[in-house]
Amino acid sequence: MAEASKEIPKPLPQITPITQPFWEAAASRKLVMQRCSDCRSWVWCPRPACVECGSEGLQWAPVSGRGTVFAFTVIREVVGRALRGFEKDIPYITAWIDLEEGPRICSNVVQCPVEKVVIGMAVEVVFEEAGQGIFLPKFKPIR
Amino acid sequence: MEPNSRLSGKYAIAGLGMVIGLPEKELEKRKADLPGHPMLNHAIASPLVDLSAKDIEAEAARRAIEDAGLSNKDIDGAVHVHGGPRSGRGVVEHMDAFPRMLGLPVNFYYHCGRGGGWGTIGIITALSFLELGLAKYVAIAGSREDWTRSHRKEVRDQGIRGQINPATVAGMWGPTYGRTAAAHEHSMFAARHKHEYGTTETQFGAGAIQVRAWACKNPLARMYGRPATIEDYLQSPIYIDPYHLMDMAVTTDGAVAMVLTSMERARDCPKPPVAVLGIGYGDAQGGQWWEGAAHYTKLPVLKAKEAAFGQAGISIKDIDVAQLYDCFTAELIFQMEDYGWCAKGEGGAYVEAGHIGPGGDTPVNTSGGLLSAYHMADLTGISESVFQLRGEAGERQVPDARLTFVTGHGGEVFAPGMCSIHTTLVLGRP
Repeated sequence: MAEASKEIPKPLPQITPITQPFWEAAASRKLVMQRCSDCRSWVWCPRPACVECGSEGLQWAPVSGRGTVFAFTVIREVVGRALRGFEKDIPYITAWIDLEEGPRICSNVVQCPVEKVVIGMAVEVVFEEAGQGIFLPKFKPIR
Repeated sequence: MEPNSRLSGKYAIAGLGMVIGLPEKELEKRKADLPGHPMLNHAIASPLVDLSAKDIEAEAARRAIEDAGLSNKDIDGAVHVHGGPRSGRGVVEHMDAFPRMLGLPVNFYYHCGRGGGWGTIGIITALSFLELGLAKYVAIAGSREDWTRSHRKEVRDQGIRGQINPATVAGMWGPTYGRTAAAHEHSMFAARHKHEYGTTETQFGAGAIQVRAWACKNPLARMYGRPATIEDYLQSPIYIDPYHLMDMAVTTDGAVAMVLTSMERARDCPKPPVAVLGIGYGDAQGGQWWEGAAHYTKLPVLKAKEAAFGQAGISIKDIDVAQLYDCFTAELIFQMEDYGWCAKGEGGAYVEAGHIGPGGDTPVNTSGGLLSAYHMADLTGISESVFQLRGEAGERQVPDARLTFVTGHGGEVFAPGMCSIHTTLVLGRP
């Protein structure tokens, strides 16, 4: 695992016409999500039609960026098919965050010691530059 | 209960063939210790040297055809099964596969499969062709070379172990956040079950230990000869909270194949037929999507189970032995609950009480499962079911096993974190 090799980059998100508004907003430090204009469901991740009712009337809307940790894990070892680009971050926290508006988003909990993270912890969004002008929404504890 | 499907029991598995990789030195030792043990006839040296996935698939298919007492010229349909485009290999490299290598005079051949339900999906496909009268004997084969791939330097140096680059897969958001392995998602199911129901580390460990105890009765199992206690488990390091290494499935090189035909024809084959009694399929989007916390620790079992058990005319109480998809230990606990052996939230206590291991009243994963034997998705459970129902399971044989079921699980993990699919396959002695 520790053998020396060239730096391996982390994967960047693929930006598609459907996801572009999300990443454009993130680059200006704003969190937006699709919302169905028919059934009012929030939709994540971005897609062409509402996952609840099938309506194509999805519109982008801002969300507060505040939420709670629904589930998390601490990744302490590279196992199986893990990407080596993350080895230097170990241990790190990956989580599902329930936003206060309702939708659930996958992200990391950052600025938090791994022994401090708990389910139900209040968090808020921060934006981390990932390269090529892409900013990733991540979540830090609300103190 | 009477079967509610006229197809229940109409078709059967008439032949089984497999090759499962074991580390070369370990295989030599086992052959020396257990000369002539029938399970070791299914073993090959791993990592694979000078053998491709296609080669071992063809060998497994050849063995399945032989096991059914047939010759290559009898096989008039073929199905290749795999885990879908995320399984690490594109379909394209299988375009010239086992039917061509064996010269099978097939009327059709194609690929199908998804998640961990490929074997069952292959059987659904085979049964459609048999029922349509387009074939008499269908060969199904699938393979994995995960062990070999994780040991190939060029694969490691790309930083991607046997998996397509997730950055190029639209909709795959997890890898950007360092969620690159199945364990990274599944560990969160376990964390949430702990949170909601008070499930303990010892309870997850109890599942791993009992399945390991079965593996110690199966010389083909990766972990044969390596018994473990709960103390061993608790003292081992945590890799991905709350999981230790023993909570996670093994990686495998191998291929499994079978021949499906009508029960009428299967009765003329040399081995006892294994009847296909019921098949069900569940998708998390049908009824579980976006229901949040209440369904995060529940698999899409309900529709799959009701369909399969209804076709077969059985209930959970009728089951003699079960082969459940144990990619991780929490999945064992979920399935104890979701299939109704115990109430929701009580799966941890149920497993901890020792029901599923040798000597328990609910024998589960008698091969050693994905956790401790070999990971060929649901083909692991299907092959073990054939051994059990034929009475060929040796030391681990469940006495008079007549009725079993096999589950498949997996597919893409989609927001809000559900695991997509579940398959239920009921098999029995006619």
